[in-house]
Amino acid sequence: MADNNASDNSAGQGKGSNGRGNAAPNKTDAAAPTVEPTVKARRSRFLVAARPLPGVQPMAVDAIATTLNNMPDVQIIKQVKPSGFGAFSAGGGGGGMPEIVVAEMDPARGAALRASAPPNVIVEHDALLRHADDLSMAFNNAMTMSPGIGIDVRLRVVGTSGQPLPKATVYVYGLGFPGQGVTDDRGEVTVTVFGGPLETIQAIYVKPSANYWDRMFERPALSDGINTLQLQPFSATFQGFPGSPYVGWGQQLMKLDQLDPSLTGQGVKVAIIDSGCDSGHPQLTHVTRGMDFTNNKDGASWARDTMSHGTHCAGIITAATSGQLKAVRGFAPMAEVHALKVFPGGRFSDLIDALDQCIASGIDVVNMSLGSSEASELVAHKLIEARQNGVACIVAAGNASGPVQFPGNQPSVLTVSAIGKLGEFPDDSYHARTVVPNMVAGAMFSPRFTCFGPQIGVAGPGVAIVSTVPGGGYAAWDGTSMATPHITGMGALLLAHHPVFRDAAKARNEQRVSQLFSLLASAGVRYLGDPTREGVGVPDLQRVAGLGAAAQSGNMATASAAPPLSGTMSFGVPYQGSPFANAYLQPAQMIHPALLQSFLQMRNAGLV
Amino acid sequence: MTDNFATNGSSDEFIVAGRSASDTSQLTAFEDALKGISGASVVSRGGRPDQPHLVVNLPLQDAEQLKSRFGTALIIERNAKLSPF
Repeated sequence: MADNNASDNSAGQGKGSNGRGNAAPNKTDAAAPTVEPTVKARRSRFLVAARPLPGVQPMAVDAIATTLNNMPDVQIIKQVKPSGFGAFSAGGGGGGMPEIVVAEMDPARGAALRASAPPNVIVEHDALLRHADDLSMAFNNAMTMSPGIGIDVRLRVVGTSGQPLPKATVYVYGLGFPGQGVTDDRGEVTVTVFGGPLETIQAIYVKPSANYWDRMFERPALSDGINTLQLQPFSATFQGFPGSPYVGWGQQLMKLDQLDPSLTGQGVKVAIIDSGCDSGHPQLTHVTRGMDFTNNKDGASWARDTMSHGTHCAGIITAATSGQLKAVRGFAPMAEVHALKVFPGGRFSDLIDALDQCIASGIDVVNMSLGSSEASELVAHKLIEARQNGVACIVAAGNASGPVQFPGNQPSVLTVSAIGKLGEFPDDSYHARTVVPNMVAGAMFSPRFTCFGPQIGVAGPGVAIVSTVPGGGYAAWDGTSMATPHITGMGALLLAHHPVFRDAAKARNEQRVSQLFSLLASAGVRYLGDPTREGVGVPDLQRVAGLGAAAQSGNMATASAAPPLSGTMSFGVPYQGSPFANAYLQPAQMIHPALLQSFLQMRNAGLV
Repeated sequence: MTDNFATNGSSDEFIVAGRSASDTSQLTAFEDALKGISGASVVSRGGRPDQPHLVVNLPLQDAEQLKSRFGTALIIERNAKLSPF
């Protein structure tokens, strides 16, 4: 239901055009030039019959059949005549068994028929029967095994021109545990699922390896043969992708596209503690520093990103134009990026080692799109030490739809939740399933997965975020992991170019980290009205006082003049529930950096 | 989340460090205590020279006993796995 509503809402928000030619495809577009017939939604069977009521003339079965026949999207499968003793009384008005019409139709049509049926007509779902005998076996009260044998679902994943798409991950959801497989070079995969016939398959989810939208096929009509699943390329949505300049919706929301292009983050050191970074990607060749904490601090294997997660985060932070490839605009393409690899298999001890490395190498801002359901006192101490050494840790809140996870729940870090925007993804993609109807505000929404709580400092774009993946491609992913690098990237820009970090303020200490977090918070724009889900909102580069002046004087390493003092300011109301020291409920109002610094000094002295 | 099985029950990975960075004697005592525990082993030594830590494999019941014994001087906590979000 959430997905249908999301689709409706997005259509209402002018879906299909966002003012930059980045039209999100609608279902019609997605189904357009089809080379091979793709899997369609499965129809449902309904039973329609007269309901015997005392004193009411039952509706004749012919009238029912005629009504159904006149509906172009309804197909009558058969009519079931009563037999046995009940048959003798049928039609006699004595309450016997009526004749039943079995018809196939869209589930929505069936629901509408049932809702509108007069009292003397029965409409009900012709549900699949299950085994009455309990053949399931319990193992240690933890796992039950469904009766029945496995069925093979044969699938082929293709693009719009019918070309096979290898390395796509396919999930098949039936009555039991989902089946999973990866397509071969022909785009084909056979997935075995248990628990029932093909008609019990609830959904198929296809996650392409790169350059295509994912797609959710609900109630697929499957055959015993090969079933073709068609995906939509990014190039059908974003004109000229990946050769033409593309600025993601998240970067646009934060006004990166309106920033002076001379502001590139040069001079700032950014660390990404994640799964490494494929520096072979044409847009990430400038990432040349890293360390692999899963491999004895190896100095080369950090560039092998087997999970793609770190490469995706890196693209958001630092992707640079490379020849014909302009597909992703990173926030800080000239920043010095260090890829610190802790995945797969990372533990708290690896995180401590990585943070030690950040402190030792003078990292300015760290992206941590990671966490744990457990807490660590040692990691918490290390995060405090990092902050005291001027290392700003920006951490994802988590995707558990619950309280903020560790270490995002620590007061020493800036914690980022995810926010989404309607109309930026296809209706039949998994992204659409992250929409919850009652958490939509205008075009923006709080996705169902994001963690929430008073620890949320800011929100970042985190649904359908297109960024780099290993092998030179691109993928659209969801998560607070994707929201966090937006904030890290903006933080790198501010550290490199904002006047508040000039001269004495460049000293690597706790105050500098506080100033950075305050500056990010001061630029927040709230979209949802719920600080537990968006903190002070999504930072907007155009709301950062003084950054425009920095563009005229280059980065802070060479800047010589402070921005002119002008304008009025307001500190807003401190958000008492947040451990984030200087969060405000009225971030839209600009705070002059000099006044902000004075305020922070007074605050540190306990005067305010 | 148990990672290994020892002969006397399940075991797990723990990270151990001093509550006071300047005092490493308790960490040495802890390592000595490990030698008498069947199934216990040092996985790795890490941390900065002034903040050393041990990563050890321990049977769970022994971990609780060691926490009782060294808990005031050492932080002994599960070396839990991280997840990308």
